[in-house]
Amino acid sequence: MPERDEVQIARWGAIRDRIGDGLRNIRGRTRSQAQLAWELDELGFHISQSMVSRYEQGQGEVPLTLERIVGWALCCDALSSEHLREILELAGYTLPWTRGDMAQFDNLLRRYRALSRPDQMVLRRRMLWHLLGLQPRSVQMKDPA
Amino acid sequence: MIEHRFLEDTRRQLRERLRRLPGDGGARVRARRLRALLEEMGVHCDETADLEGVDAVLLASARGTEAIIAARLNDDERHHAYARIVARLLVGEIHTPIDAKMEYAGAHYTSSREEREEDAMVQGLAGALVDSRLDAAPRPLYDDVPKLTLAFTPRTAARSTLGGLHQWSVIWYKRSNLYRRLRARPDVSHAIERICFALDHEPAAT
Repeated sequence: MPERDEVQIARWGAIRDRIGDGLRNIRGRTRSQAQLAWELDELGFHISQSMVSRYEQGQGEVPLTLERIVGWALCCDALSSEHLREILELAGYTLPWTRGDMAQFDNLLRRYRALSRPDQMVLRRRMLWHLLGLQPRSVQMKDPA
Repeated sequence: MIEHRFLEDTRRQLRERLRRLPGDGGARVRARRLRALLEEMGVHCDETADLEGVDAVLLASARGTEAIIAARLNDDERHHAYARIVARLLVGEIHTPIDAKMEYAGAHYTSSREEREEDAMVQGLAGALVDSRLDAAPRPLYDDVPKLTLAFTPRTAARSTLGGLHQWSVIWYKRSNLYRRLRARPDVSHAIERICFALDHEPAAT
């Protein structure tokens, strides 16, 4: 495990329960933990079902990164949800998009739900890059084998 | 690039470049030419995507614009895909803050009339581009044309009439398969060209 500062560990300990609640609300009841873990894995995140469960229970040891939080919401079509806004605020992250912008991202995700899985994944990986506020030219992500 | 003023500027440049684009060479060369044109306009092109049912995706946001082309395409298909992306950029409605347009080789389901009409227009213009016959599509799609205005002199009235005809042509090009087929016929294209010349021609200096 990479070396972490005591302050960082203490801060994460103080907020991880509330972040867990938010993550569970973002996933909702219609999507299982296994399905979410699978979709996150396809997007290039190394998150297993047990990790999804641990994060939701506030037991995750390592602080969630901005990329993981946004990826989580992206897979749940919940980028415009109040829960995501609260989580980002708690974790001290910001995104260069307004709430209305995020609603447009969600609309786009829903609109293309009918695409085949591989096509959806290509679109989502690229959207993630735009969401994180980075230029497409600098994409370095490899497709998971 | 998705900001309205910036998009309009890109479209204007794209139209100018397109009218002078050479039409010679095989599909591979011509696809490369279109890719170079897009990249010159600031569109990042990637031909390595594992797209399965879709041939290409145009993804645009305030963070940039991407043309994502399926890796499985052969030269001809890739040429068509690039032509559709160029046509989409020229005539498609791109929404802020992010929009994605899917390009298919054949027919596909569309949920609204607007989407169907836009797809038909993109398909027609892309076909004209692939055939190196831009005149097979209505001129306002790839050129600056006179506008329909309240005109009072014979000269401006003629130009205004021409503007009205162009508007009419674009509306029917969007809506009617029959008109698109007719418009693409060489004899019809030449007849329209002659009408445009007659209405837009500067009278000889006396």
